[in-house]
Amino acid sequence: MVSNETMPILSNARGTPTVTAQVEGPKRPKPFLLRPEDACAFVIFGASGDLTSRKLIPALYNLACQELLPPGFAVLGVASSPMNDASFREHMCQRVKHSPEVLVFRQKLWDEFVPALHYIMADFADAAGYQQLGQRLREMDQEHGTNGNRLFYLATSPSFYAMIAKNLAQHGLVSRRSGAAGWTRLIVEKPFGRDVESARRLDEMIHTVFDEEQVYRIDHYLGKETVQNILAFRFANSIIEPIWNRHYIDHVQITAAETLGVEHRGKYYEEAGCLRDMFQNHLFQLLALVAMEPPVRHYGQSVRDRKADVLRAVMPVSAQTLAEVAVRGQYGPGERQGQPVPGYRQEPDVAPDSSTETFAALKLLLDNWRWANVPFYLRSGKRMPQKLTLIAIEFKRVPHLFFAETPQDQIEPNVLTIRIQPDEGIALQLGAKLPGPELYLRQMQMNFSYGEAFGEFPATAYETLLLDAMQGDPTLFNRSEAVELSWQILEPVLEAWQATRAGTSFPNYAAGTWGPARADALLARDGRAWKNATTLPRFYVTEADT
Amino acid sequence: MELALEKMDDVTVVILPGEELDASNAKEFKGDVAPLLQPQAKVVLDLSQLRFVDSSGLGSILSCLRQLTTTGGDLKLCGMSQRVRALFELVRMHRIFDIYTTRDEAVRAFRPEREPQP
Repeated sequence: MVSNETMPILSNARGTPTVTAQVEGPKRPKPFLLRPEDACAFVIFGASGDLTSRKLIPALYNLACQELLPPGFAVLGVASSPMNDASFREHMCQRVKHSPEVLVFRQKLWDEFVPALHYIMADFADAAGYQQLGQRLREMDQEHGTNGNRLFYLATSPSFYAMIAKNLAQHGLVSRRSGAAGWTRLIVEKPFGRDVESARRLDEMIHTVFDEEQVYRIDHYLGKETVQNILAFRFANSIIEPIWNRHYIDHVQITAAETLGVEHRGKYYEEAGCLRDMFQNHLFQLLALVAMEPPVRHYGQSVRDRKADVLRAVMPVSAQTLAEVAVRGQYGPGERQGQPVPGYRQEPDVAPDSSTETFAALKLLLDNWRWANVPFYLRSGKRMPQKLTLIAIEFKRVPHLFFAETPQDQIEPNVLTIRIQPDEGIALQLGAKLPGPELYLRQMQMNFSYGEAFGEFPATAYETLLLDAMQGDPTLFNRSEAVELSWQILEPVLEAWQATRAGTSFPNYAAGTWGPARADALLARDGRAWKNATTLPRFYVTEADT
Repeated sequence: MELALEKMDDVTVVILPGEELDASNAKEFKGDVAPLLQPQAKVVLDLSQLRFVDSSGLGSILSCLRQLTTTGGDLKLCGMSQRVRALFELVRMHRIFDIYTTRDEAVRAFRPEREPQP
C-alpha cells in the first residue's frame, strides 16, 4: 500500500479529498511539478550580479536536473561586465558547483544544461545594446526554438526598471498580446518603489509597455514552502478554520529577526531602512496569508484578491496614534556569539549620525468581521540574538480553570507557532497534567518539523516562482494593487519618522538584543509579551547562522 | 537499522534492510550511513529490498549524495523495484541519481574504462 502522502490529491464531486492516482497499474501518477509547454528565452538584466549567480542560475540548473525546463529553453544574460558566452558559463559553473542551493552538482547534468546559457555585454541605457539584444533573441529563436517567447527578469537596481522597460518597447521587444509572435512577460524584483507615489509612477511607466497580466513582481518569500504551507495549514484542515478568528484568537505576532548587521549593503540600507526593506513586502505578505479569507481556488486572481482585502482592511495609522502603535530602533555596538560587533553607525557606507531604523515594530488592527479588535504585532530587526522568522498565534485563555493546585495565571494560553525559518515547521503549545498524584499543569509542545516529515530538500523558492512565471501563473506574485496598498499602510509612519529624524535617540538597542525597550512596552501596554528565545519552544536554540 | 555492507574493490555496497524508508526511520538511516560517507568514498546503495520510500526517505538518500559529491565521492543506486523507481520519477529525482539495474552494473560504473550508460 502506498502512503497517501506522496500521491496527488484532488477533490471528488462531494468535495471530499480523494487519492486519484496509483503508483502501480496502467495509470502512472502525474509528477508533482509539470514541465511548462512553451519554450522561452529567459533574459536576465543584471546577469553579472550576485542574484543571478547565487539564486537564479542555481534554480534554473535544479529545474533542468528535474526535467522541468521546457524544451527549447535558453538564458540570455545582459550586463555591462565584459563577458562572453564562454566566460559567463564558466563563471556560473564555479558558482553553481559550490552553491548550497543546488540539489547536487553533477558534471553530466551541467554539461546538458550549459549550452542554454548565453551572454551579451550591454549598457542598459544604450540603444545599441537593445539592438544587439533583439538580434541575439532572433538568433536564439532559430537556435533553440524559443518561438518569440520572452521572459525578462530585472535583476538590476530598481533605478533601471523604467529605463529598461521603455527601451524594450522602443526596440520592438515586447508583445502585448500572446499569439504567433510569442508572449512577453516581465519579472521585477523588490523593492517596487519606495513610497505610494514612486510605486504608482513606476507602475504607470511599466503599464505603458506591459499589461498588468504580463508583470510578475517577485518576492521570494512567497515561494518558500513554509509560506505556501500557511494556506495549506489553514484551509486543508477542517479543525483550523472554525477557530481562526476573533472568537478564539487573542492576538497574532509576526517576527522576522536577523542576526546579521547591514554588512556590505550600507548604501542601500541608508536609503531604505527596516520598514521599506522588510515590512512592505515580506511581513505584509505573511500578514495577508494569515488573515485572508478562503479564496475560491488556488490560482490567478482569487488568492491575490483575498490578500488585497486584508491589506485594504488594515486600519490607518494616524499621527495621533503613531507613538502607541509604532516603534523604531537602531542597533549600537554589542556582541554576537561572544564577539564584539560594531553598531550600525560604524558600518561601511553608513553616516556616523544616521537616523535610519534597523528595527521596527508595528501594532496593526484589521477593520473587518473576522479580526475585529485582534491586534497583529509585526516586528523585524537586524543584529538580533537569533535568525528567526515566525508567526505566533496566541489563543484566548480558557474562561474558567478548576485545577486548584495550579493558579490560573500560571497556565499559559495555547500558542500556535508557524516557523518560516529556521527549523521549518509548526508547534502547538498545550497545557498538560504533570505525572504524579497531584493535578499540576505544565506547558508542553506538539511539534511538526518539515525536515523530519519530508526530508531536508534544499530551498526551492526561486524554482517554484520561475516555473510559475514560465507557465503564466501569477498566484504567487504581487499585484500592482497590493504593492500600492502596502505603501499606503506604511506611508504615514514613513512620513512621521522622516519628519522627526532629528529627534531619534539612536542607537537605542545593543547588537545581539531583541530591540529597543519601547518595543517590549508596545505589547506590555496590552498585557502581552513578544515570543522570544525565552518564551519559545526548545526548537529555538541559538544557532550560528551566516 | 542494520546496514549490510559489502566491499567490492574500493566500492562500498550498502544493502538497505527493510521494505520501507520513510519518516519513521530516515533519520536512523542517515545516522547509520554517515560513517561511510567519507571524502572520495564510492558508495552503491542497493535498494532491492525496498518497497516504499516517501519524501523523507528520498531526502535522506539525497543528503548522502550531496555529502559525497561535495567531497569528491559519489553514490549510485541499484536494485530499484518498479514501484520505487516510479516514486523517484514522481518527485523528479530519477535524473539526479545514477540508477542501475544490478549491483554489478553499479559497481562497474565506478570504473571509468568500462562505464556503462545508466
